[in-house]
Amino acid sequence: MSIRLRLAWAFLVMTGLVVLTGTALLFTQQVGERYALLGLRAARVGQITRELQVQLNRHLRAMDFFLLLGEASDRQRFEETGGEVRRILKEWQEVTTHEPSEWIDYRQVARAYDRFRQTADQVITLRAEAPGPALWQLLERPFLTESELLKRLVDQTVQQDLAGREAVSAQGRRVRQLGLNVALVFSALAILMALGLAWWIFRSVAQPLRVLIKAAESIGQGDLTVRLAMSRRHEIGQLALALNQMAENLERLQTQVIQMHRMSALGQVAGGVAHELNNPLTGVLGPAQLLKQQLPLGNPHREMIERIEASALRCRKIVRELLDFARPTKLEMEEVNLTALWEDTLALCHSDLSVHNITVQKNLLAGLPLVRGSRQSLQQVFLNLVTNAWQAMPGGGTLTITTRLVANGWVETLVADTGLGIPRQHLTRVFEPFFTTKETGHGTGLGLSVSYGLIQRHGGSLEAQSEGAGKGTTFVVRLPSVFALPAKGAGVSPSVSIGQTLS
Amino acid sequence: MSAIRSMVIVEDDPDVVQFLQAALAGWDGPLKMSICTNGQEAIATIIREQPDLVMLDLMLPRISGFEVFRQIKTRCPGKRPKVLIITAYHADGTEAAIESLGADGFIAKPFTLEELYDQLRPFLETR
Repeated sequence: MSIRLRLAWAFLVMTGLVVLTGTALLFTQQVGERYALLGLRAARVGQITRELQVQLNRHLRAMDFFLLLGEASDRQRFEETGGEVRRILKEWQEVTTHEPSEWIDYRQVARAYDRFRQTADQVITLRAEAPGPALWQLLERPFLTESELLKRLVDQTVQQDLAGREAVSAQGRRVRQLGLNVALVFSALAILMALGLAWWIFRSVAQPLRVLIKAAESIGQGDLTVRLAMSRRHEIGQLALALNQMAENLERLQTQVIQMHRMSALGQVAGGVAHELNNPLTGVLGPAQLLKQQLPLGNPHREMIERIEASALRCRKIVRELLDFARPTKLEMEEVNLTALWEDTLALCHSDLSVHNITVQKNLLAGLPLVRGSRQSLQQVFLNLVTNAWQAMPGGGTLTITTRLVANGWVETLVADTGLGIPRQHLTRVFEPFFTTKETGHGTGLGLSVSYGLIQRHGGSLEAQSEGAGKGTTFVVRLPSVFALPAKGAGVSPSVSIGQTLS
Repeated sequence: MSAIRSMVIVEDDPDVVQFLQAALAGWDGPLKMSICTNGQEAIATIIREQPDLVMLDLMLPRISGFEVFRQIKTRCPGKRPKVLIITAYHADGTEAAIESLGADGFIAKPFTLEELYDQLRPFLETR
């Protein structure tokens, strides 16, 4: 899964956990409020019932005194306290909600009081009018029971109210605790997730990034051999791959640039030396020829003189090739048909090729776009490459010429042989002037450097590829066609433009 | 019969001079050869001796061969000598410059006997 996706999921989950924690806390708070309300109400009811208890006691006592002594003041007190009791009952009614509950309903108490009052009023009236003891004894028993019941009921109410209140607060506490626990669990989870995420980010993002940064810095400071080994497929891995590719391309570019500089410097030195040689060479070639003229044909020294002349002419050839390489003449640019040019070139080399048992394999793309260049120079290069090819196949072999179109409208020509090949360490040196692996006397070692220079001046590139000694060689010539997109700089070919080669 | 009676060779390298002298030694008929090793001397000599042919090297100390040629053109307007330029092979832009100057021919060092004679033959056949 990509880093982007993973991070998105992680943050989503964490947000979810945080939301859940918040919800739990909110729930706790709501429940707490509700229980607080219940508690308040219970407290109020408690107050009321205690007050009721007090008044009822006074009420019953007043009645007892009246029954005993018959004093009018007691009867008055009985009536007053009775009024208070009713008032309190009314209050109780107002405070109670109409939810069913286990506690003693005020209605129970109110009804009990009504029943009691009915009987009590009868008894009090009888007492006041001083009836005989006989009537009084009749009413006494049910009367006492009812007042007892009432008293007990109210006492129970007070007890229950206390218990109830405690129950409510205990319940409230439990629920709040549960809510808090839930919130704690969620936040613990969230913290764990955060820690996990941090560790994961450190492991798979921060650390690799550090490695990447160091690598990029190394590359920036000039070490282009740096490569990263990263196996992951996500963005960091992709970045590492891209960095590797970039370093590789830069390395190749650097090699090319260094080579170009070296060649240019070499060229200038070579040019200077060649120039210096012109005069003394005249002093050798000329007199040798004069001397040869003066010696008759049978003369024993004539052979030696001829050898001097031949060597001097060879020197001249080398010097001129070197000057070609160092300070080239202006090229006549035209539109060249490479296919036709190859047919021509191969025709020219036909005899050489058949004499050396070389089979020619032509893969020339039909309809190849025209190339901007000097026909003569390009033919010189092609001839040079073909000659090198058959010279590398002493016992015969196959020469394959391929032309094809590559990215950005460039044209590629491949000259491949099945011959001696080029060892890895020589691959970059092959285009150096005077670098030759041939035996002394065969080849000047300048052919490839001249070809390299000519192709460079066409804005193209010439590259040698070989698996190693004995594995054959392929020379790759890349040239811009008339449709090519402009190259970034003289001689910098798309072989090193990042991600653009097809092969 | 050779049409060239006198020539001036403007060349500072002794090897080349020696060879030219030897090569032209067996010339058909009398040939007066003057050697100048620098530009100043050359201009003075050419003006004084009015040779038929000047062989002019371009690489000279102090004054270049081009300059000498220009001087010859301006100082001898009427009948200036034929000028054969001796040049190094393929120096940048030399060919174009030679053509624009209007030299009568050029030969690149190091040259063979045959090349030398090939260049000189037209001057033989003009008269």
